[in-house]
Amino acid sequence: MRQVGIVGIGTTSFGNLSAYKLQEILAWSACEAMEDAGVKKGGIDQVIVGNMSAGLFNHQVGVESAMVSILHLEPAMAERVSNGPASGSSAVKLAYTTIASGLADVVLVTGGEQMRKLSGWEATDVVAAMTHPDAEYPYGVTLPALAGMFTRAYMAKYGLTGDQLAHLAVKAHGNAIHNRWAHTQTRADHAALTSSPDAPVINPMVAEPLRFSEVCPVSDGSASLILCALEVADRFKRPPIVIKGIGSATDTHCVHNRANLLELSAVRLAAERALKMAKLGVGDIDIAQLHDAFLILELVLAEEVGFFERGKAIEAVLRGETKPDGRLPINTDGGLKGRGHPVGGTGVSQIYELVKQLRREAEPERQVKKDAKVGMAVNFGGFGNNVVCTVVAKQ
Amino acid sequence: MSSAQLWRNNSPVQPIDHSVYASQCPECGAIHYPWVLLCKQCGARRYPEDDTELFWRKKGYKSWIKVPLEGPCRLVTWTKLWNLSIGFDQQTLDLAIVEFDNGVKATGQLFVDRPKAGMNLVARPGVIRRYPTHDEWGLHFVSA
Amino acid sequence: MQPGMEMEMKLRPPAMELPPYPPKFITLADGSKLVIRPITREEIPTILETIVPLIQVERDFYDIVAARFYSEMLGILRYRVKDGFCLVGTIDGEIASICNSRLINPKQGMSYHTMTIDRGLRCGAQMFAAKMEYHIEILGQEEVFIVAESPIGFRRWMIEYELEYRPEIWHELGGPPTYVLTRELYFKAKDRLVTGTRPVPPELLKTADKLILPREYPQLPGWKR
Repeated sequence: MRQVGIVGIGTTSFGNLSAYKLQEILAWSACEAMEDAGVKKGGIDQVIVGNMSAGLFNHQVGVESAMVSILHLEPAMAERVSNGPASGSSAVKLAYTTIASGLADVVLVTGGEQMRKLSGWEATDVVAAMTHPDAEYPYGVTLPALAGMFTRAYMAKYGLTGDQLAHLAVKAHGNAIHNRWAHTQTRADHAALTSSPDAPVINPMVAEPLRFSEVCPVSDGSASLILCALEVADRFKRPPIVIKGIGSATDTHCVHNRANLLELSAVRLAAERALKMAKLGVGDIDIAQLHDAFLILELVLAEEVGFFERGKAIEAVLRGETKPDGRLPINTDGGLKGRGHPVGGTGVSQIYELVKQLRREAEPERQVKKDAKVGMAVNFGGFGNNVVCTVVAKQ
Repeated sequence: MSSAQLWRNNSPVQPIDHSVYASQCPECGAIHYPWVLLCKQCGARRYPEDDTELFWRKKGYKSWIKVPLEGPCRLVTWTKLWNLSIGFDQQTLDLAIVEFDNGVKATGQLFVDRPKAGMNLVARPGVIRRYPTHDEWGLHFVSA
Repeated sequence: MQPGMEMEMKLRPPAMELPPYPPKFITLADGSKLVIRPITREEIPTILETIVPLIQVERDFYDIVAARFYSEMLGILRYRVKDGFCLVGTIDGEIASICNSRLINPKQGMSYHTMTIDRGLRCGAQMFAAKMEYHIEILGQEEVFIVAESPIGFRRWMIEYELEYRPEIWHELGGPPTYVLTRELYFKAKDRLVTGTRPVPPELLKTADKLILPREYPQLPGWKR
């Protein structure tokens, strides 16, 4: 297999981009990435778009072809990859295999979603449609509902409190305000979220015990990468960041069918597989991007991957270990909570951020202090039923 | 249930069965909910309890044994959902995961004043969603 | 009397004396303080200026809400709306959200609009709550008629307050079916949806003395005043 590197990155702002067309949103970040890499017209062999559900969100199918045309990339090959909220990382995985197998040398990967054409109500329903169509969805189960049930069980077992989760919100917002592309551009104040007399009203319940401040926003946006075979990387102006390992795994569709509700085995397996492929251990990871669609997932994913013992991640967070200047910076761009979560775009934007950090090009306030060499992204599909983990490193 | 299924499965004078069933493997006894095509334990191929499609019968596969999901169960976890999907006009919805004595777990709607993990509940069929044209039935969990 | 004033006095709606809305403040998620207070007649032009840029924003029906809000405020300014009022919410003096309404009679209110220069801090929900607080608690009204022009409005008001569906009532905003907030529903929702501290400390209230027009509108990317 050939080795694969990332030589270009691009993103759009995340937030409400409902005034635009989906293919425009996708193409903007693609343009940025092509410019970053210095790709000339005709230099792209394959386009892969990670997108969860343009059909339901935008009543549009064939967005990959639409995007090729808006960028004049014909006659490049083009496909769309859909794997729920892990569509972005799955698109990167397919791009990797396309290059590694020799089918293409240069691949443009774009992940994006436009969710805000619909009301929040309808968007919640579209996302809920990934739950089991007989045993979950008809009951009114949504992703926040699953997260709420999970959080309650986790709190009961490990004693985590809403007060502690609010510190994660403060960190996420604190990173996001230094990320010009992030959806959230306001600080989060711990006292305002927890102890102020107004807190119960300004920070209402969403899915008990989950509060508004513990759930990511609904965003539009896209991010793009240019991937190439390492042997042709000198065609481009940026030194490559190498994809060292990719692993993915699935778990039961129905959350209730898991032997242990609190174990997200697909996360653990995906990370193990990615690390094995990279020939690295969990201790080699310098920075991580973890899928915090709900703040608690930042903790649970960190524990499943093996960064911290079960139930102990919050202590590391409270000690500041996961801040940009900490021992293991996590979600330096604000994460899904701060940066936003256009479902199909998230996986690609996680890797965008890792590349930015490894290149040391992030805004100074959130650039990691340590000399980071290896980064890991965990992209979480469904409620943990299809998870993709990617390990990237400086050459 | 579609009207076609209704006519296939029930004579018009019989009441409609709103029960929810788990599927038990006639060979090894493993129970699944919701139903699946291959047994998780012995790998045998099965067809759904009520499916009368000739496609399955011709192949000669056995049906699952229907195990009603009802009666005593224990509350594993729950949530009160405040942001409901479109299609639900009420303000909140209580959802829960329960475990039955036979080890089967299921998700359903909860109707209990003060839920507590581990408490005993009773599962019974009830309307879980009202569509403009019909009601959808499923599992309600109520106090034991 | 000036020429024309006699006719003007015939056209003007008779006004009731309304007890003033006592200002309050709410600590928002980012720690900033939203000061909510009534506006004076003299401040209506500032409110109009706040609204104008949103009149062409189609998304979330801002265009309809803005155009109607503008005309309602003009109606209050030029004495063509009876017993109207407007509350403003400011953060560091800058207008963050506005809402308006009017009284039909001492018992019934006619809710008009709530509009937020949205910063992701849920100011709109607080302003709507303040408006209902004014109608029910301070003006002592029995019920308020409400319609929603956008899905987000429907979600916020109709669902969160569990409003009573009374489509037979004719609302001044026309078309959309009327829902009603009764005293009973208000007090049922109050703990969950209405908050704020009174009195506002003088130095904080002072920040809201002179209204600052919004410098940017998230609804209008790139637009700056």
